[in-house]
This record gives sequence, C-alpha cells and structure tokens, in this order.
Amino acid sequence: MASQRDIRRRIVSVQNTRKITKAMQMVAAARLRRAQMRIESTRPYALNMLEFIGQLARYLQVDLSMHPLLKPRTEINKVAVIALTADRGLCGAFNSNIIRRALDLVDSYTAQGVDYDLVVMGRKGVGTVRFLKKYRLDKAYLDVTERTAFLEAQALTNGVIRRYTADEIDRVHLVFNRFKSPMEQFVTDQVILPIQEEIMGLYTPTGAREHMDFLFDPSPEVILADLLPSYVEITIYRAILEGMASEHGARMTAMRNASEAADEMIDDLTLAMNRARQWSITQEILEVVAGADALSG
Amino acid sequence: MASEESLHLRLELVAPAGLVFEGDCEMVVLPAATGEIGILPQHAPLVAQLNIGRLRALRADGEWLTFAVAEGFAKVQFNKVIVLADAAEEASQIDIERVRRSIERATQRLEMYHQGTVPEGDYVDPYREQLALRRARNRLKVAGVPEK
Repeated sequence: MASQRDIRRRIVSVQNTRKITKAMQMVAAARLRRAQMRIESTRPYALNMLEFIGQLARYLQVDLSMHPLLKPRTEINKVAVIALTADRGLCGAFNSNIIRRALDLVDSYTAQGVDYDLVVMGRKGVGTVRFLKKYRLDKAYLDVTERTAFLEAQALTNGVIRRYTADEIDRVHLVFNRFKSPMEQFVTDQVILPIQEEIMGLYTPTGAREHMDFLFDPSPEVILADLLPSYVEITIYRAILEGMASEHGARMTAMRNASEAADEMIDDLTLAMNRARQWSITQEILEVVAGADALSG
Repeated sequence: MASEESLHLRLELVAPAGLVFEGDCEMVVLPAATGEIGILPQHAPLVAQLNIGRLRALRADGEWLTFAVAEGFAKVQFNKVIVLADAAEEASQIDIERVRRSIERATQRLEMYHQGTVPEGDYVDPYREQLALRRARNRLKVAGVPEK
C-alpha cells in the first residue's frame, strides 16, 4: 500500500495540474467571446460586398452564373484542398478532425484519378501531413492571428484564383470548422471555387434592368471582375475566424473535461489517503493493545 | 434645393474586421484607381475602384480626418459614401512601432524566400509578404513618418 506521504504528493501534483487546466479553460472562454465578436464584425463588409456585386450584375445585365469564376466545370482534372487548422493543440480532436476530413477528400479524388494541391493553415495540420509522408504539401501558412487573418485570406485567394483562371485547377475545397456554438464541433467542406449559391441567388436575368445612372471609375466590368475575388477573400477570412472561435470552444471543452477528471482523481486519492491514515491508526492501536496484553499477561 | 445645413455627406468606412468610421462630413477625398476624387454633397451616383493610399474627410468643424486605406471599392449614392477597404486605419491610431516591426519581418521573410534560405518547417508566401509590406509602407506614409 502506498504511504500517506506518497498519496499526499500525488494529490498536490494533480491539484497543480488542475490549476493549469482551469486557467486554460478561463483563457479559452475569454478568447472565445472575442472571436465570436470578431465573426459578427465581418457582417457589414460582407453584406455591403454582396450588395455591390448584385447591383453591378443587375446594371450590367450579366447572368453571374455564366461568369468564369461561377460556372461549374464539367471536367475535373485537378482540385485544390485548403485545410484550416490551428497552431496549437490541447483542444481535443479539433485539429485531427479537420485534417482527417481534408485528407479523406484528397484520397477520394486520388481514387478517381484526380490530381490535387494541398494547402494547409496551422502548425498542427502541417505537422500531421509531414508526419504521414504520404501527401504532397503545396503551401502552408503558420502563425496566423486574428490581426493577419485577412492578409492570409487574400494570399490564399490570390493563389487559387490565379491557378483556377489559368485552368491549372478546376475546383477548390475549403475544409474548416464552422462555428455553430461553443459546444458543437462541425467540420465543413465547402466548395469556394467555382463560387457557389449565395451570389447566384442574387440575380437571375428577368429582363427588368435596374435603372441606375451611376458613374463608374474605371468601368463596371473591371469593377465586377475585381469584386468577385474579394468575395472569395471574405469567405475565406470568415472561415478562418470561425475556425479560431471553434478552436477556443474546443479547448474550453477539453480543459473543462480535464479539470473534471482532475477533481475526480483528487477525490479518489483523498479517499485512499484517509484509508491509509485509518489503517495506520488501527495498526498502532493494535500494537499498543498487544503490548499492554503482553505486559499484564 | 435643401438648406445649407442639411447638405452633409454620410461616410461609412468599412474594413473586413468591422466598421472603422461612420459620420457626417462636408467633403470626402477618395484615392480612386484613376486618381483622387473629391466628393461633395449631392455628388452624382458613383462606383469607384480604390487604390491603396490616403482617404481624407472634412468634418463639419473644419477638421480633416485622414485614413490609411488599402485597396477597395467606394459607392456614392444619396449623399452617402460607402467605402469597402481591405484595411483602414485612422492616421492618428497607427502604431508606428508595430508597423516598423511588420516591415522588418516581411522584408526578412522575402529575403529568405529569394535566397532560398527558408528554414525547414517554415513556409513563405511572397505574395502575402509583399501585400503586408505595401500596406505597412502606406501606413507610415499616411502617418507622415519616415521608414527609418
């Protein structure tokens, strides 16, 4: 049986671990709140952007679904898969869920004879891909913060749009964790090129031309051609922010579980220690009684 | 014609990270792709592409507000100017030290990339670094500070 001192030492060690997990839980909760607010803050930009695009499409009488960036391609020879993971761990299965989903996607395309470009954000995802040695990593982005997230989104967009318009790739997938609630983990695979649904819903040519006497600088065509990539940028930016919020949510949950496990362990150890203490007291009494018996006998 | 007092322009400056400025102005000067455009109240409806540069707004009290903005778009309609910029900061809010650090970092990373000395396990996207560099330099320029 472990001595009282050994058990006491273990209790103190678990208590210290619990202090750390508890602190990490609080930090994650605070970061989560800020990340949620940041997602909310992207709304004015995104909504205005959609309105700009819709207005221009109506003005130009163009069916957006026929635009090169929106028109689905019939033949797929190569795809790009972008996976958004985190730089840090200690957040449960968060990173492995995302990277597994992305690699499954790559595998299924490979099985169909379709080539791939793999782009990964976050140290954890990059680490897994390098460890597996089975996949070609095309590009990686590390140390992304909320502050630089839009820059990163623009760089990602620039890379895929350049290759997409040059017909080097025919489809782009974005795999990330959509933020629904702090408790829910929800890995999504979204096709971002060709541009999907939302914009298509904005305008269907009905023949009714919106009357607008706008001046354009330089020309409406040039502006529209520039707005569509910006739409992809804001889509990726939002996905990065949602991923960050989900990461904090996942870490909060993981750390709460860890703290609860520590509580349980402390309870068990305390019980064991009390048993050990009682056992030693009983032992001492027995010895005293035995000694007294021997004297009087 | 409306009375003079009611002739204001509403400026909304929006960046991806959120609303940067919202308020009434007498005049807005946009860094349009084809050159600066001054917007006064009752300007004709306009959609313009914006360059990286400086956006200025004249407040009713005669004070000029200056913003460092990155590429974007602007729409003028009904005495309202909506600016969507990839990044926007008021000149007085610019943290010079941080901008200098990001210039240093981007320059360093570009150098590593071009000399092929990117350490194992690190990755550099030259497009991203150039974008960061261009934005940081514009911030310094708008803030009126030399690069040092």
